[in-house]
Amino acid sequence: MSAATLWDRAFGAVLLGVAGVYAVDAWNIHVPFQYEPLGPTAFPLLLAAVLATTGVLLVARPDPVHWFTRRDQAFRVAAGAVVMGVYAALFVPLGFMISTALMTFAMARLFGLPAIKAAIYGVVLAVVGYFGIAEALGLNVPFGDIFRS
Amino acid sequence: MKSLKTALAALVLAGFALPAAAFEPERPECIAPANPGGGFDLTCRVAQRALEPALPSPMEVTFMPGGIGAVAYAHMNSNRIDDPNVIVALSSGSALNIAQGKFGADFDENDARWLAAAGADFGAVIVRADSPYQTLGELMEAAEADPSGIVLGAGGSIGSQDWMKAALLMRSIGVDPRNLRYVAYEGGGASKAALLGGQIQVYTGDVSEMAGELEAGTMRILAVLSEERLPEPFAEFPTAREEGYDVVWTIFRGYYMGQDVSDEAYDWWVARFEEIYADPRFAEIRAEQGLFELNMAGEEFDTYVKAQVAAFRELAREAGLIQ
Amino acid sequence: MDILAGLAEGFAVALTPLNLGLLIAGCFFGTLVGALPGIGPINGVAILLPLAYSLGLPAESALILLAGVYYGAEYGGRISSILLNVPGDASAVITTIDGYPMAKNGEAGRALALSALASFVGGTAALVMMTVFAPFLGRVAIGFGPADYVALMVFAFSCLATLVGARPLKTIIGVVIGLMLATIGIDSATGVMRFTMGIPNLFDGMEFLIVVIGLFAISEALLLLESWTPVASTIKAQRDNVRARVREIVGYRWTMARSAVIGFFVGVLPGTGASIASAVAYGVEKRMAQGDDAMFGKGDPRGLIAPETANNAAAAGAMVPMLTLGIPGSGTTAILLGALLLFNVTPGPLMFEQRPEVAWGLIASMYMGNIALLVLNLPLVGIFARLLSIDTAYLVPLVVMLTFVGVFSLYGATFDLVLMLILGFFGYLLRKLGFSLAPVILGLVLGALLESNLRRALSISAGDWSILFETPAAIVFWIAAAAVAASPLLMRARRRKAA
Repeated sequence: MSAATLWDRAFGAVLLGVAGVYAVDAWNIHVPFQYEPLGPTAFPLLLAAVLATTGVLLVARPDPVHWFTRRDQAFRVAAGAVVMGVYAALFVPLGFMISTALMTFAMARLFGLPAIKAAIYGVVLAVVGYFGIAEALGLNVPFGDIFRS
Repeated sequence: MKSLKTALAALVLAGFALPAAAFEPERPECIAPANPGGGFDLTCRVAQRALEPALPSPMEVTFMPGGIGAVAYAHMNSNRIDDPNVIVALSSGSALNIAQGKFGADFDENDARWLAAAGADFGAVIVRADSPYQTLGELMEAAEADPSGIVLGAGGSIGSQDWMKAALLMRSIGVDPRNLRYVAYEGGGASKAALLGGQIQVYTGDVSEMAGELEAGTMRILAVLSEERLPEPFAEFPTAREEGYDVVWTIFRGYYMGQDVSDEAYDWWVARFEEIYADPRFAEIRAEQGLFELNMAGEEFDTYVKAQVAAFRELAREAGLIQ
Repeated sequence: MDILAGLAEGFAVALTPLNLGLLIAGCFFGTLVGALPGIGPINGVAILLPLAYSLGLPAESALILLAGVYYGAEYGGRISSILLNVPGDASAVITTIDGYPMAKNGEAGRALALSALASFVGGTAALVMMTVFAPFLGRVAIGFGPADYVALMVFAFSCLATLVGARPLKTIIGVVIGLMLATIGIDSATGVMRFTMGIPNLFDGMEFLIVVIGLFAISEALLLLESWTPVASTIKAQRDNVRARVREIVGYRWTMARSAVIGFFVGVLPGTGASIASAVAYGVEKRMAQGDDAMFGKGDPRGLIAPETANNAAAAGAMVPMLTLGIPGSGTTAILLGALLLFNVTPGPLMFEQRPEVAWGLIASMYMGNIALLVLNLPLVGIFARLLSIDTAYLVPLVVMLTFVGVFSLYGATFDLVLMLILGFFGYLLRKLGFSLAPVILGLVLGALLESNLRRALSISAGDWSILFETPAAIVFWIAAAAVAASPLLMRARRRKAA
């Protein structure tokens, strides 16, 4: 078993597990009564069966996958995911402008932009985004809980 | 210095002397707990337009879709439980879901301050123009003889308002709603299409959505599910009660606020709604949205909503939808 | 000659300076909104609806403005699909399959010009069909029952089966994941919760927009992070010649003709919409090209022209049931319908008699809108293509910001942002493992329709499965589905015989 095929095998195994959990969940749906023979469970059970079968096939015959040939790639992807997660967490509490400036700064840094340029871009995008896009288009974006008295 | 002190004292005194004038909403907002363009949006637009003269700044309509109001209900009970500036649209559909526990296990009808009604609509029994059934009586007799011989359809699942109308009609002649042939569509538009296309024979819809079809002569209303006959242009249709079937289904639309909103703010909003009920402009706005009169605010509306939820809970229990 | 008289009256309405100005403004705004990744036609129409209302415009003018936005957004949706691999909404998903590879091959200008022309042809052809057949089609569309939908969905699936991707197995897994996502939420037949984990935000099910943006846009940002190197390697967009593209697209006239017809008819059916139309058109085109289909998925212009023609044709087709019967054919037309009601116009068979200025004015404005969009879009091709040479350090934060704004403005909750990110991380994983994402989206779109219509059909027949094979339309789709599914085998057999 080569390392390159491990990804597909692992994913196939995960699909198998998901199919199991999904099937149990579907089985436990309680319905007072229904007007057709299928009800809310038949279709999900069928899907779980198909997913389980395909999962087994994937474990049996995986494709080689080459992922993260360099270590810095894994770091940047993980960091990018964290930046977006933090952005989502701060979006409402800090409001659009501050959270956008912070996200933009961090993201631009990950793409190698010098700190000063990244900071300027962060502020520009936050302000232009708020007034140029959100306000001008009338889109509802958070003003920021911290600004509420 | 002295003048400043006097001015301050005067301000404080004024504040004590006129408590009613102290509250005024800032950036008033109406949350439509659905996507734009739907019934909740229209309910908010009624408030937005009717209250315009009474508000210090225009009311903003925002959207929070999810579970016929479940998301907004949870939101109001966490983030904005005492926010005096926001009202949320509700309908009898939301009340029905509260009664069935579909707003989440944590919430029931005591987790909001029911504010005021915008208006009402009523259920209707609808068939295609060329249907063999001329009266509700004929339809019900056929249903009694063979409950599964008629295909009913409407825009909601088992336990929804449209289903309740069908179930109540069947119950009134002693037929178990479980023996129906009922088809659930997504919304009124799709149900009307199914009726016109002949996939279903009877549609248990609402009166106001029928204006276009009645005028075009493509569908007929056999009976309306109101207590009394409706005003023009619907006055010609008999009520189910007149025909001898005791079924009434009122679809109400209104607003609520967070459960910890101060009495001061709540009373202020109630007073505004009572003002607009007297305004002929409001009647016009309401009619444009296809709503009939239902003027109820404050305590009266609160009692009404809670009684409705209790009645819905009883119905759901009888139908076996909840334990 | 009722139709010509009506159309003449419509053009008289649409060509007044106010309405023409509103139309052009709407088209421009719509293109912009559609081109911004994450913000699609639904946002666009929803944004302008209250504005149009508060401006006190007459009904026909407001509707012309909103229809311009709707149309423009369908047009603009392809731009971010082609340039960034980020569809603005579900109808532009298929466009990414060949559009983005073309841009990566340095043919962004060619792809943008061809897709603009294809959109124009698809939209206009559908309008002509609509003008001529609308009243008749409205009646046919409602005769289409749940059993017919089931057969149509099976046909759509058979078109998908070998749509894209290195391995059929991975396409099937993608479709099943989409189908499973579609089962989340309140069951539309029995009202019970399925797979919601008690979270109210999931009661209405997975929102298409969140899934599309999450899977495509967020995963794209992660892929760009992964592939970034300190040495800049921007793609040079070649200069493009519009006249050459006009000549080129004439060569694809049959592709466009087929796709326009498919798009229009699928669009007319209530509830199906542009994403299914474009998928079916793509599948048919790939099948027609058998033996010569090696470039599909790698930047074949036919794989771009077919879905673009079809989704614009479907956008026009979706107006048919709305105008003739008052039944919305898609999510966006549902909002337009709400707009009509807001302006006291009751859509339906009588609209053409009672409010001809609204009905015909709208149709005429759609003809004008198509022309306006083509004129607006072609000169912009060069400018849009240059977007590709923007440094990713500037581009990615902008895209991330826009996706957040798009999702938050519609759903207003942190939960939906988090859901979008989770789907995005999952989409990144799928892409790294060699899955393509379009089957997931199509599974999501088709899944809800397939299951609910199957169960509706069985409710009507009280459990008798033979209802699925009773109507002529259903039988035609079953045969077509079988033919499409069997065609690769037949082809292989024939090739073997020839060899």
